Amino acid sequence: MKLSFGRHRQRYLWLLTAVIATYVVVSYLILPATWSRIEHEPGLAKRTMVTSTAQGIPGGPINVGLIGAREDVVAAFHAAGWYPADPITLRTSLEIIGSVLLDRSYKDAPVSPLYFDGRREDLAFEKPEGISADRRQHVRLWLVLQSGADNSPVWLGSASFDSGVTLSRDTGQVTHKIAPNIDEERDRLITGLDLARMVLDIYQMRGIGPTLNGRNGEGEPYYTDGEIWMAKLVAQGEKASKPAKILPAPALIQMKDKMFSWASFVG
Amino acid sequence: MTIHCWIGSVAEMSGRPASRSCRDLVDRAEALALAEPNEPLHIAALCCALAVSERTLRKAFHKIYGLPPYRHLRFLRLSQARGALLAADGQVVTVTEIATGFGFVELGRFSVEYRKMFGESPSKTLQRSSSPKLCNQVTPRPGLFMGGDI
Repeated sequence: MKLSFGRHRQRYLWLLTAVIATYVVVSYLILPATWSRIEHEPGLAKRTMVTSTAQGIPGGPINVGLIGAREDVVAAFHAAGWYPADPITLRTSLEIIGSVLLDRSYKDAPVSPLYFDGRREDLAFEKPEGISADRRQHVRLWLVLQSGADNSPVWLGSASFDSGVTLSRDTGQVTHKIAPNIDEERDRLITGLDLARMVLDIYQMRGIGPTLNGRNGEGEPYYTDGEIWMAKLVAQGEKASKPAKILPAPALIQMKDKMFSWASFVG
Repeated sequence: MTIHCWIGSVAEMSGRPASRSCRDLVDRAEALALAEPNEPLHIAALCCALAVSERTLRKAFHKIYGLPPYRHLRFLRLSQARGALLAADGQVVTVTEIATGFGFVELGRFSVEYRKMFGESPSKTLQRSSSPKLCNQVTPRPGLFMGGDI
């Protein structure tokens, strides 16, 4: 009886030791190694990847990045059929209202300002879908590094799709509502630039992380896998000879993105 | 050949084949519009010189770039002006000289359009290009923005 109890105790001890050892190996060695990725732009590692409104309300997340000089960025969007956004003035404000109400074309309608890195966007582009300015792809971009890892300027951006007009949940102002699946818009933007042969390399960077119930600056819901897709642009619109090379993310991150994409599709 | 590299990119995106005649017409329009950059851009005059109607020119540009001719040609000139601003010495030339050199006679409008497209004023570009300590950050390169190889 005593012998049997001692044997059991020894077996439990071995089991406990094995569980602890497995936990330590998996949690502190295997998983961190699998999740870790080469951060191509170490200069951006510490930033919080969320924009904000002028009132300091958190806005949309940063979900795209571009590598290239200012003129490379402008040329790439031009080649992909995007329009630079008008500045906000009384005239352009009236014009966008007229466009939405009367279904009139306004391809370079203004976009509301957002802040990142302590300042308003440096560039804003849009691509209308349909006639009026109520449905459009749009992106705001900030120059965040004058010289990144490969000595080219680095831009971060927040891309989303305006799917109609609504009243802001936070301020009651008339505003655009966005399509909640912002990853879809991010992928469309990068794919569009690539189809126009404006991209050399595409890779992933850590963004805000998986978010299921995010709200942008106007209180509009969004969800995202939390990754930033970075695109290295061709110089001055000189068309690439082949589609961009995609540098794969670690396997676990790819799995997470697939699961997130599937879950958001089902949800 | 920078600009010609774009030809067909939008057409490819939408799956439309770029016909040879459209491409030729667009090539000739670009060459004419950029041959005398100091002349203001008038689509009617361009059509006259090419002996085509505005509708034909518009259709050709839409087929090749998916854009109206005026917008595309204006973009090329603005890009050339930026190239010149980046390459210029701010102590020697002014924004006005460069703008008028590229056919922008309404300087206020040039400034607004330039800022909208590049996110900074022309004077800031010129100032930056003249600043020795920032010269390494944006180096003007030959090609589209120098207007030399259209």
